[in-house]
Amino acid sequence: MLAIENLVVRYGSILALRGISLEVNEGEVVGVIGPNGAGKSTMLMASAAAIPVAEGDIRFEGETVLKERPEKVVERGISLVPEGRHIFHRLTVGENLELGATTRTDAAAVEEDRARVFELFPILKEYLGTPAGKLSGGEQQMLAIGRALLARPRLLMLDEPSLGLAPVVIDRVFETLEQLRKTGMTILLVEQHAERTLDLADRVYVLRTGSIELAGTPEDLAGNPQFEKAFLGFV
Amino acid sequence: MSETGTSTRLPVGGSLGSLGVRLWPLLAPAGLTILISLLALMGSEVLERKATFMLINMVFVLGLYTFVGNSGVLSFGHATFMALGAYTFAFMTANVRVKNTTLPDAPGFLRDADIATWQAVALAAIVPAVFALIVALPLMRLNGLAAGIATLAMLFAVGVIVSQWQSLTGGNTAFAAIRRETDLYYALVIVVVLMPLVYLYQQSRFGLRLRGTREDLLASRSLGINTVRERTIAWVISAAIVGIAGAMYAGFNGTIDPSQFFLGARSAGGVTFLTIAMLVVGGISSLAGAVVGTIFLSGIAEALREVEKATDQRHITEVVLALILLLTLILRPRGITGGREIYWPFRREQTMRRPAAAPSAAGTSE
Amino acid sequence: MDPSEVAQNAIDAAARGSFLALVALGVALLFGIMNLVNFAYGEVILAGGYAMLIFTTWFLDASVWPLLIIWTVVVAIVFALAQERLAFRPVRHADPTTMLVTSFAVSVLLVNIAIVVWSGLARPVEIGGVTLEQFTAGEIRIRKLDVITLGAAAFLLLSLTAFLKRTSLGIQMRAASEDFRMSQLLGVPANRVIATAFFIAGILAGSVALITVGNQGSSSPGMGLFPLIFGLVAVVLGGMTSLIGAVVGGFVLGGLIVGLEQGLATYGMERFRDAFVFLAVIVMLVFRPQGLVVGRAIRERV
Repeated sequence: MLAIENLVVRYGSILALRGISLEVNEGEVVGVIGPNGAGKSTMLMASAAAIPVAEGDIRFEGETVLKERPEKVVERGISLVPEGRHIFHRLTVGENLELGATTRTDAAAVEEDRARVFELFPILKEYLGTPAGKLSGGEQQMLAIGRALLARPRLLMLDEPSLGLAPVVIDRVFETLEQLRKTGMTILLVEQHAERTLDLADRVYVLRTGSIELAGTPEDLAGNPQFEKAFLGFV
Repeated sequence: MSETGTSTRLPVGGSLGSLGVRLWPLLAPAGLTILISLLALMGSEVLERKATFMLINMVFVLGLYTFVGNSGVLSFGHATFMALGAYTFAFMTANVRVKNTTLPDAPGFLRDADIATWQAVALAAIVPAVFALIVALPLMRLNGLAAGIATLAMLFAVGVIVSQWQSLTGGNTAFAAIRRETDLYYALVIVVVLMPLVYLYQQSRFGLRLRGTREDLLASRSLGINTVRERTIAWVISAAIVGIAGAMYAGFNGTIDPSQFFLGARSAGGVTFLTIAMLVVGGISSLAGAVVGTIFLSGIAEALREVEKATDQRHITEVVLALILLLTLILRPRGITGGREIYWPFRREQTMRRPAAAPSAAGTSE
Repeated sequence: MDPSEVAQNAIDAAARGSFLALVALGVALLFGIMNLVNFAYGEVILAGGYAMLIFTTWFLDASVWPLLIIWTVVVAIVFALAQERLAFRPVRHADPTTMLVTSFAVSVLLVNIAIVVWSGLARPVEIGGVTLEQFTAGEIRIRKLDVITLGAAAFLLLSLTAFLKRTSLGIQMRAASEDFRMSQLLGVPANRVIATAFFIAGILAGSVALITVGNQGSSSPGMGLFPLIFGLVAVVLGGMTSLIGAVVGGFVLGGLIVGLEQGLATYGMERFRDAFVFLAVIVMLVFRPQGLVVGRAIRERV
């Protein structure tokens, strides 16, 4: 579904990604883990066509996204929940959700999707008229995910959804992702939280200083001494 | 990044030749300026005056560059310093009898002042420098857009004071009978003295630190660099230099009035626009850029002034200069020089410059 | 001060405040959406002013004022959109300082074109005596133009608020001004919201042009400069990143100007009024850069 090939991204003289390749198949949950500054967010931003790419290609359902405007990428079915959630604090919860459906033209189907989001996150329905900045961190994360779902993505990309949240809230976020996976949603999840990612993902890539260091199923990686030392030791 | 690359270069040797190579980023623009001035000397008197005016603008742009180029903080306010320098020079050198008639209410020591030209020039550097030091306290804390707007506010505030303080400055009426001693030689001597000073500052540890804050504010703060102090140093030096440009201008024109310096309904961009255009078109972050930009736009402007005279159509020059500035910003935002210095073209030790970093950094820093 | 004097000052402050609020709103709208401090916004006002001159000399006289208003606003909108397309779109991804210099260049370009075409002198615009009329109630004088200004400002503010709150394009505008990149990630087209911002700014500038020409009875190359500068001051006072802040800043500045005039007149120093206004800007930038009304953080992480 999503194929990243030899992707190189530069920030000025800094090489953020040094030619990574990665694949996400339909219906799969793929995790990308790695330390801060490894280039994880860069990879997602590039896939959302939000930053320029130096070399390589990113293809979605066989066609490149590189020359696309960001809004076209959303239309084609990729949604990104960026790191730090980036909800619109001064807009109401309802308005934030409405923005999620910006690219949609099928009003009736949007209404269905809204109902589904409220099923997933009942709390959002209660706060519809509240400025989103008043929500707690966990509720904001739910809003961010709900908002992304309203674009009816075929590929949902999440950047560190557990960042800055209390453990019990993180549980809730991962439960949600588990639920989404059951509906057949394709998910690309970037996390520092290695253990939970291994629990959820079908396949995992390890990204470090702009290169892919390891890749495989959670079982493969869990047995890999190099991986255990680097990640599981800290969790 | 490319500039910092230069200053970290190792000394190449002790001989005079290699010193020349090392100083080439200074010698090249200085030589170019001298060459053009000498060529103008061989031409008509009109050409000589045009070259003199170019050198006055160059002093302004060198001053502007000292602050803006090294700090990366934009200033719309430097014409303030030019005005302060010009009025200081005017008070110190204008005909005493004329001053006593036109400004009867000004303090006596200003009305009766009549000092040597070089002393007046020195004073025209000191007054703006002191003023700059005072306003630096609030201004130098600001970054980016806030700094741009605050320097503009400074320009307008001082502009109101100069044009409204009738009893001191004569307000909007012209301040006349200023000693006219600015000719090409005089202007060239000042440029030849100031340009090495600007280069020296840029290569000094102060200049280097300030360039560090330009490249990365947070990183340089973590290295213990005091941004406000480094900026203040450059700001004050730059005010002094632009003040000298003001003195040169007053001594060139013989009369001054606020509309020559401050933005107003009549100025249509004025000296603020002209000098910013010169620096940006040349390349904002190198000495070479300041010099090349001044020469380039002066050449175009003076040619267009002739067209204006021939067609009796004023302000064509400003239209064309604004178009050139716009095209530069859109097509070549780092200016003609790309923000790099001019290096000795024949040397072998090119490799001593930081290899990979320089070209790719060019597009992003700032 | 006796009550009628207080009332007179309040009316003056409100009239100036609403005028400044209109300019400030245009400045803040562009800043909010694309971090652009647009000096050339003054020249959109200028374009409106000369559009009025053209209308009254070449087409019709000002008695057909509805047409005059529409024509002026349309020309301003066209100029605003042209600025965006030709000058600001190519530098959209540059840093704010580059965009600032660009807007300065556009401003100088347009002012000088106006001088080349219409000379540097003010050209009288025949708009009839409407604007000189005034009502009197006891000792209070109210100029008709001030009433028009207040009415126009109220109408535009309410319409803009309704647009921003009620329409989906308006919500997209608010989202983009809070977090431009995130709005793009949700599929809000950058070109659409930016063009809309310039479009609205054009409407505001056209209105400001109508009021300015009404006030001074002429169009001149410098007519955009002072509204722009004071609008910028109002935006700094009110808060760079909030539209409400721009409106608040406009009225605060209106009050400050009238207050300064009264206060300084006692010392015979009212000529220096603007110096104090600009001093206030510097003080504000240093001690409360977020302005009176706080929007988002000015510097966003890239």
